[in-house]
Amino acid sequence: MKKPLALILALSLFVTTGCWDQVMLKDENLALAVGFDLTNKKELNTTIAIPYMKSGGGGQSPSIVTTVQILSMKTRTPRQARVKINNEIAESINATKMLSLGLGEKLAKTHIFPYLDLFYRDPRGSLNAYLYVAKGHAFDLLKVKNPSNPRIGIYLSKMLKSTNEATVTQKADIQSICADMMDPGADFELPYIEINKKDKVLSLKGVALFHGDTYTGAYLNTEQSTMLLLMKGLKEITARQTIQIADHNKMNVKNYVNIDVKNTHAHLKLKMDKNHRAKVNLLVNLGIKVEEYPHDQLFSDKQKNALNKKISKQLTLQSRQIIKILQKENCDAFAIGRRINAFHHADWIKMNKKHYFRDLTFNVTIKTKLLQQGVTY
Amino acid sequence: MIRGERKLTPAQYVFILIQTQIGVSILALPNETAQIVHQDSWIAILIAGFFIQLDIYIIWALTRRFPNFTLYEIMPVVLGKPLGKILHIIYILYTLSTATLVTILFTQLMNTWIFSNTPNFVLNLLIILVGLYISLNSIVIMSRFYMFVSLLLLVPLGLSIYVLTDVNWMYLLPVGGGGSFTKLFTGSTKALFSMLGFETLLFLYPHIAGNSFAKLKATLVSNGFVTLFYCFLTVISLVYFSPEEIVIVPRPVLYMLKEFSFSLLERTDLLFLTIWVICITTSFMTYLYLSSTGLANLLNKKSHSKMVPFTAGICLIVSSVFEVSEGDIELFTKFFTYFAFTMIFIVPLLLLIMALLRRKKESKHA
Repeated sequence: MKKPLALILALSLFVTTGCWDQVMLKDENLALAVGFDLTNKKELNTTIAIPYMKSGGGGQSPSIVTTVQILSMKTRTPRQARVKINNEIAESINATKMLSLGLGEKLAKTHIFPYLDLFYRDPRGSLNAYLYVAKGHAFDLLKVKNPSNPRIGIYLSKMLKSTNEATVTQKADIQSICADMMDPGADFELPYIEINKKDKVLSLKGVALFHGDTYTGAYLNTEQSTMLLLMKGLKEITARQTIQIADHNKMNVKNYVNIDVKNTHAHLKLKMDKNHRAKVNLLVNLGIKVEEYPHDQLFSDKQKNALNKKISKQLTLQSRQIIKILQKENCDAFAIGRRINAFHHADWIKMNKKHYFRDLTFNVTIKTKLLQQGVTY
Repeated sequence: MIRGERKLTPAQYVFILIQTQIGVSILALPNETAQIVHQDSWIAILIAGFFIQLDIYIIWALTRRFPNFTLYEIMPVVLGKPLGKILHIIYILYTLSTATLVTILFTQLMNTWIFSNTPNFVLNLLIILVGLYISLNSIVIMSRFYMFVSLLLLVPLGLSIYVLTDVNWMYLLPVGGGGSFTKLFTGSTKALFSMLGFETLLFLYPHIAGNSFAKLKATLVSNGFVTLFYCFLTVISLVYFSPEEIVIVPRPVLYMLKEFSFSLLERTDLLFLTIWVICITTSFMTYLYLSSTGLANLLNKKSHSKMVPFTAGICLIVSSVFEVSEGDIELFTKFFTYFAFTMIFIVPLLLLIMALLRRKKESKHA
């Protein structure tokens, strides 16, 4: 290569380092947990948790002390909070590594999409942050100081990850709910978290049911939410359930069995009858493992079959209860509308998109199969 | 053309076409077609691919009559000198404006997606300097580079296959519910713009070794590959986003990778983009090369290398001087689509008809 050209190319490296867009971590404060609330005056209240790392001294092995600062302010839009908070702290705020976003109950009951717009629009927006609904105010939730987990952002995201692995909640991040939020034929649920005031910890209450982009105000408790996921054919690492199989034992503990679901297969059949009404038949096959059976008699096939039948019956009753709640709230967690659109397009156009889910007939049956029973009979 | 020059093998030509056709606009294509035909976007892309195969046949039928002539040499023979010269200049403008448009789209992409504070001029300079460096060489050397970087296409392919872990195939149903046939056709014209590059056959035909059928085959194969590749990416975008969502996401192919994070790696869209930049640059290089050869031909220069800094300079000036908004780019793109449609479809067809009527053919002793 000719020398002048080589020189030009080598010099051009200086303009390729991109110093205009460098982001120095020392100049930024990472907001790991963010919460949105509506005040009584219907103003937006944004809360941001910023962790600070300080060297705690200590001579040869200095320990690092983390403190969390909670900043909260009333702003017109979520984006304005960044400007305002920047004026209050030394560094500049950076929410691109946000781990979780909490929505206060009141705010969730309005429409949530406008509040999420900034995350979709920003090329650096943190789309895989966990979303959850806070019972009461997200502001109070972020102020909880758990001694073992002082950093609230990490605490929340770890908690939501573990509940996801236990098949209690589905991983719901800002991007993954977007499809269901915009689709008139599908709805979604978000984890519903409250404060356990006695122990000063957060506690997952269940899942909050949404219709469109609005929280309906109803929720499923944690056992129901696990069952709902199993009915969708979803199972993460474990899916444990405590099921009542009797009520006559004097020792209450003997009335229950604890199972872990090993596999789930959901068979959903959708039919349209002559009057263009949708009818859904859902058959869920669960392979289960008995993890705890205080009654302690599982020798013969007869006993096993009897137990299996009781479990199937209980779970079927429980899932009918869940469908009842979902239909009452018009929360189409199974995306039946999308199915109707795909396979019965002409009917879907004529359907009422607001309460088609309430209008359809939904039959559900759960069949279990006892696969394992631990290392004793 | 200069005799004794090394020629492209048909395989090398396939890679030139693939790298020229695949460029910046596929990132936005699923959104543009979805705005018109919704879940049937992938059909629109297949239709576009089919029409391009027909167009390739027309171009091939024209060029095979003049096996040793590039388009620049064909035009004076078929149309006479004055008209030929005018068209010659228009074709230089066409290739030059394509190169400029690629630069502008590249800079817009970089600006909105990663480097929001970097001046546009610097971003323009980046792509133009790289393009300049490669385009100074002969087409054979360029093709070797293209062949080498085609390996990188596997990475975006792998990343998009990973997206398939989180999709809903029901978004494709009902097939044919997206709109009427005329809508499908309008949608496919959008796809046409993303598939530009096959018209290089007009300029490169004499540079390829082998008989005319081998050349036709190479062109058809690479266009077929690009069509299927685009169709694949479009289907993935369609099943990842819901129909209501895809119309509000301007660059679905990039956007869908934004959510995915691995334990070692976050923001896979940036990884994708880093590699995709090369595919964008190769498209730019080809058009820079074509406009430079056209200019060299016009001025009766033997080598195109001396023209490259000049054409690259025009690109840099045009792309940097104007402060363009997204609306301007849209307008420019729209105008350009018509321009391109004329230059690659209508003009070659007219030239072919004229050549047939006037029985013009390259004389055996030329």
